[in-house]
Amino acid sequence: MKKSLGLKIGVVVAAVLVCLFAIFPFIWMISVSFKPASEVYAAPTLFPKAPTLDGYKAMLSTTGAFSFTTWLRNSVIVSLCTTLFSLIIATLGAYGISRFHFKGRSALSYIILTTQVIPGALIVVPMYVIMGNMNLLDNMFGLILAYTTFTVPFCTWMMKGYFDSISPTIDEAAMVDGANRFQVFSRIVLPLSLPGLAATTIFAFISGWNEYVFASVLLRSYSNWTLPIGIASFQGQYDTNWGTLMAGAVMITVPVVIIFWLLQKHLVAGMTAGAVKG
Amino acid sequence: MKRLKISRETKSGYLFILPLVIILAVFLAYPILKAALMSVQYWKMTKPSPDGHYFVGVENYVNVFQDEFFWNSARVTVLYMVVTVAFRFILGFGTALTLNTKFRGCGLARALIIIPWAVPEVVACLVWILMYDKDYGIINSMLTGMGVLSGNVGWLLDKNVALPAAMAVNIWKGFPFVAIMLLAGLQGIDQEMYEAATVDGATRLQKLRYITWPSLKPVSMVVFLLLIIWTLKDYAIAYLLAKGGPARATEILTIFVQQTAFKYFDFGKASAVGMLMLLASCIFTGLYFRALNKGEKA
Repeated sequence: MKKSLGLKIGVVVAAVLVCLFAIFPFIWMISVSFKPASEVYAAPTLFPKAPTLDGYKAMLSTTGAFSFTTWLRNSVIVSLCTTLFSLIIATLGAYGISRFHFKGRSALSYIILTTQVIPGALIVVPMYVIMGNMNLLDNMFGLILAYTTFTVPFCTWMMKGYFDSISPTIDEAAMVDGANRFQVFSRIVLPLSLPGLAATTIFAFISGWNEYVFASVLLRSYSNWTLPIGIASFQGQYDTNWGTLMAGAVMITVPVVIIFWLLQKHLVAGMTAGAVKG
Repeated sequence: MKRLKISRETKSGYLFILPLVIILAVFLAYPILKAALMSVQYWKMTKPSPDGHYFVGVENYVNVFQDEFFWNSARVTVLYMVVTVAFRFILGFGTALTLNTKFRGCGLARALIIIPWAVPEVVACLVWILMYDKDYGIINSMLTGMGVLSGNVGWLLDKNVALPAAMAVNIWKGFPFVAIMLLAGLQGIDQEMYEAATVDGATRLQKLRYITWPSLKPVSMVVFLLLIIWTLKDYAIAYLLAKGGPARATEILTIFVQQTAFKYFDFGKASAVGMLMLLASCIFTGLYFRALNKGEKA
């Protein structure tokens, strides 16, 4: 009994330590976002002594070339379009792989998994050249195409896991009743895999929302930038205003963290389903 | 009649996968072939040749292998990979075990632990850059306050500590993924096995060794190899923190490619390094599938 109490205390202490490690930078970001510049360039304190909203006001009122609201709009457009395209392509493809026995089916599912190992650094150079040839450099649609390509394989993999868990006898029963393949897919199988769709949606949206490397290579003009490149460009200036910068960081991060919290169960289930089944 | 039906079924099957195949072919297969081609062509963008992008054989590869900075990058990459994968895995595994126990607030702890995973890489790096700041950073302030350090350290400015500092950020950002995946695995273990083991008088350590570990093995194998593959691909973190510097101390291969291409504008050499990385990735994938198949048989 005594031993088990000791273990319990140990577990709680370990949990507290690991949580502190995980959330400290997050808390620090929020704290600094409320600090005036004079407090940022001084001995650091955990809480702002004179909390201010100036950072948020300054970030939201940026105009001209360096405009937070423009980048926000771009990021929303890019992430939403990436999500939409990825979902359409991935659900159709996953249903095809899950239900039909065509030639090259297993090869295709292997290829989809293999794409996970292709280094972005390998793709970024030819992608730059190809996008240049297609006149899609410095163009949000080009970026959306690139993002869709990267998210589709993983989305397909996750959706296939969900479709596999729905018995094909349901499809057959509906087809006996006169439904065609597409109706079975859109009206029966898709609604049955809502948790999987939720997971895939978040994955695709967040991939687009967070991505930095390709955006920084493919986009040139400030007015086309997405939030990650925009916000990163604030740092490294001689007069980096960390309060303002962290206010922007909070505004980018909080929506993502909330989405993760709401839907993490589905995301984990989707990832483990794919992982276990291969 | 039957044959007609089958071919129609097959046709609609192809229709379903058509968009997928097109996008994979145009934006993944084609760029890879293009990279393979570029790696044996002349692509120095600053010195355009009148012959265009002519064939140069293995010259780009030779240039790569003769470049001492490539070997530096390879060394940094291996170090970065080994240390961050090991620490993310161990920390994630420990966290999963901890959070699998029931205690007051364990739900909250599970929610908090996700934060580093959810935070965008750019934001994570900006916050850490601020925390690592030599003069005003909280890390120096805490460590000197506790007496661990006697003076301030420029974590991302000193070539001796920049790599470990970047690794710490990577570990912080990456361990929640491991913890969450393994936690899902732990919760799938049948509790009756533990009860039966308790009846038979097994110790905690024995239960960990003979029930928990074997049950987690399939998920662990997948997570472990995903970590390796993702780390080889990753560069946002190291790049944003220190741009490969100081003195190339954090220049992992992905950054080396990026710099070769977009700073020195030698697309051919950059593609050659990219192809070598693809080769390394493929070797790991081979191991991945072998491990998966073994896991299925077991």
